[in-house]
Amino acid sequence: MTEDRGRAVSVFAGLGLLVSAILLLSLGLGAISIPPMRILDILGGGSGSSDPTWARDALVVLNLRLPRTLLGLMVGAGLAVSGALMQGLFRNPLADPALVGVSAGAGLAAAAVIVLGDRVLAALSIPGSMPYLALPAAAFLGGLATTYGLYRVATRSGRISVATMLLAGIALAALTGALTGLLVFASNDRQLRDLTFWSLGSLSGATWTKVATSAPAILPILLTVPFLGRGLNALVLGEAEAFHLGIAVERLKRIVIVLVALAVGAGVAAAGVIGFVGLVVPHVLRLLIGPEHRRLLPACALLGGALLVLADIIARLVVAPAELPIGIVTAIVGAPVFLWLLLGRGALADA
Amino acid sequence: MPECLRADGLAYAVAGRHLVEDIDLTIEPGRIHAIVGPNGAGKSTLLRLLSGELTPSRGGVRYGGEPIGAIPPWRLAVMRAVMPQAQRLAFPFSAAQLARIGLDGIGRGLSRRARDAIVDDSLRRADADHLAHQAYPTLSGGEQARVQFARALCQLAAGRTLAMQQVLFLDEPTASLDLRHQTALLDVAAELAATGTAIVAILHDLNLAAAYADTLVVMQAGRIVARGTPATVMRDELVAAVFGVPWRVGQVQEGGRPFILPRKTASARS
Amino acid sequence: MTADPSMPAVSRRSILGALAGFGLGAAIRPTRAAASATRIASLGGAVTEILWRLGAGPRIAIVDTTSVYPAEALREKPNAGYLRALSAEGLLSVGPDLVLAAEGAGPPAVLDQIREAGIPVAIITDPPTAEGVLHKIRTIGQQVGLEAAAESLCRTVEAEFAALSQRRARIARPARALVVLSLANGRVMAGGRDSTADGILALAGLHNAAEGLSGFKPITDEAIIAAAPDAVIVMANGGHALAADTVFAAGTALAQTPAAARSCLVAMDGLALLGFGPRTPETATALMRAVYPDLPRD
Repeated sequence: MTEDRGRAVSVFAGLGLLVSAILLLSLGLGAISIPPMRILDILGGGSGSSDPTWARDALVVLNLRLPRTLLGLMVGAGLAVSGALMQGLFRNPLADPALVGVSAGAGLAAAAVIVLGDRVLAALSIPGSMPYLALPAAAFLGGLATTYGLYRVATRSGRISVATMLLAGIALAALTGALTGLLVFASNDRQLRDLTFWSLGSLSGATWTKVATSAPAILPILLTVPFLGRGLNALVLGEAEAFHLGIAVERLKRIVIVLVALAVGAGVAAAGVIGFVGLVVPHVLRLLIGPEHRRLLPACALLGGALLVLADIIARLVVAPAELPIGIVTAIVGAPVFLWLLLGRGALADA
Repeated sequence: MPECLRADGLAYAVAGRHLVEDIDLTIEPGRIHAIVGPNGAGKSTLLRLLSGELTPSRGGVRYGGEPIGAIPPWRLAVMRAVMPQAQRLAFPFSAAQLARIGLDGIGRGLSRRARDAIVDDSLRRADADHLAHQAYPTLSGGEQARVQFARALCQLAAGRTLAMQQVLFLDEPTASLDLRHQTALLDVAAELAATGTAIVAILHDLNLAAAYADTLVVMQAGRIVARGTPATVMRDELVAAVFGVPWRVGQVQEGGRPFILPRKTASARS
Repeated sequence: MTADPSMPAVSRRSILGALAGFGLGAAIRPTRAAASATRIASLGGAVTEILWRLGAGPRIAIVDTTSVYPAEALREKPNAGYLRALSAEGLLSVGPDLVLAAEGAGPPAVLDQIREAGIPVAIITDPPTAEGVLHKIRTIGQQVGLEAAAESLCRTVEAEFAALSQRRARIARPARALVVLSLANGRVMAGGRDSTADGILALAGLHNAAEGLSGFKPITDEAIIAAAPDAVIVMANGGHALAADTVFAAGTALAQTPAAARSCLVAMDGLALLGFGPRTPETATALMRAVYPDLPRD
């Protein structure tokens, strides 16, 4: 037991260091090179009034890199914790946050806004183009609506059938995929490019407004983490067993689904569809510190946040001054890692 | 006679078919109740009704006089523990971690040292202490069963500080165990009964049931067809009628416990 | 004005475009600082092309991936990525003092962040008409303080448009043309109504055979045959043009069109054809000549 705890302590210490290091990198690196001392000055609230480039650098650090980093931390943490929660809830290590239908619904709603938004405005003879907050708002609401639909389908006499939810989720994903395809067909060249970029995800255009509007949806899942671990541990044994152990199973399932839908919906709304973080992070951590959720969940928050910010650093550095969609980076790194995990743990996955 | 658990007119139906019906049953503290019966007799359903996992379609279950529906899950967890049938686990929890899950909820008021002691003691009593650091999914079926038993023991031990009366439900606890571990597990159950815990166990082995049970509950087609001490219940006619085998019941001298010997069926002789 | 009453759809759009342009012109009156900008972020193929023609090429600090003409632009200048997936810090890193962006540049939040950094951002509207091109040139000229050069370029382009209009008037029976954006795996992506393809066809005196489509869409084999184009126009991007025997390969729907019978295949540079910049009258003329070889020379 004690060696176990020692290991967990060192893993958490390592994760803490990793997060701090990546935070500093994210604030320090970018298309514009700013000396580290100046970044610290800017963060410390200094005012290098004499230097003409100071104002620009301050803007870059405080209004571009800082909100972007915070948004990345939140979205990454939210996705990774959601992934771990879904895997626990479905008692399946291959589950990912997309299973509650959030991503599919959010994707459909976003595609609808991109393709139909201006036409709808034109039909209603409202001048101008779609306000750009319409896209994240629609994505968020679309994600929640889909999850709610799935939840209704999977609920029989007050109990949620996790298996039904899984199957219904696959059917619903096929349906929303087809409807999105229909919208793709109806789109013009430019809208098509928008759809593509959106579906690959990006933290570009992260603003304090985005941070502020995403926080109320993502922070609940992160703040509830300390209270969910015990229930999830019991739930992994089976729903009946969790009930025997004194867990209010239905309430726990409902809470988890709502929290995941909120967090992933907000994540998709703020940064588009970002794959593999929710799947890979819990896996890697289970190898490092075991499946115990009271350790796993907070560790997921740390590593998920750190990895997404790291992916973002890569995304904005490799082709600077342009930038790659972040989904490309997470998938290029995430997919091989995941395959490697499957290879190494094949025997266990079949057990 | 004192009672800690009581079922009145219990029935459970799925899609119009009754899995169990007309169950009146009293579970007494300090006694081992063995539920026996052929496949599909409704033993597991009855156990799930008694543990609160299923809600009966008719009748009710009371713990210490309180209707089970009015007891929140956390308080129920203090009063009863359940050792399920063998089950898989998708995540590599170690045996110790899995056993500890048994006291995570209700043992929150205990000190870390007390909790560690309970986990160690439970693993030892279930003869699983040497497995503590192994991953549950890599254990054999019998080893997994012992770890699950340890988990139930943890839950009871943690709940004992809060509840006067406790019930331990065992669903075919010996199914995948070797002879030594079968008796070892039931010995631990008997020790618990000696300290006042009521034991309700589904057993397939009539000899084990007869050797350990204070009360034998015989089920057939969803109903209780006989109950009483093994000596009064285990009769040739009953075994033939309920289990459909013409085996003879014998009796050993010490304690007057009956036993049964299998016999090759006549029609299979050729 | 060269609005042609024989093409009501185009002229209605051009009026709308002019109106929109008027409103915008008032909204983004260039500041003195912007007019003397020396580090311009030029985002959009036509914007870069016009800046270059006005002689402001050396003042361009960064371009986007759609700025493919002149070829030096992307070769010599840093690349900000795709027009609609820009990065705020990436743009700021070149220290621009003016951002000229084609309509649709974004994401919008990135443009906001650039404005927040105190850098003027001018959006250049993009209606696919002759008026649209002239307005674009004037607006850009104003933005970078090259009004005289812009006016002279406008006069040239306007004269070319006028000549084009006269030539167009001589067309007795407009031919039907199909603009093929891509031909992948036998699937034809064609330009329908309300597309830049439709605009250039109108200017070249051609009838859009894919008028049943809206925007750029995949078109079915049967629709291609029903559209019966007399000419097929394909993109020649980066010097790679599809050969006639590929486009009109035996057994395909395109092979069964009048265009195949006449072997009338026109390959044109994508930006020149659909970009609506100063080269548009020239392109439209070339297109017209290619489809109507018998049209009298001037």
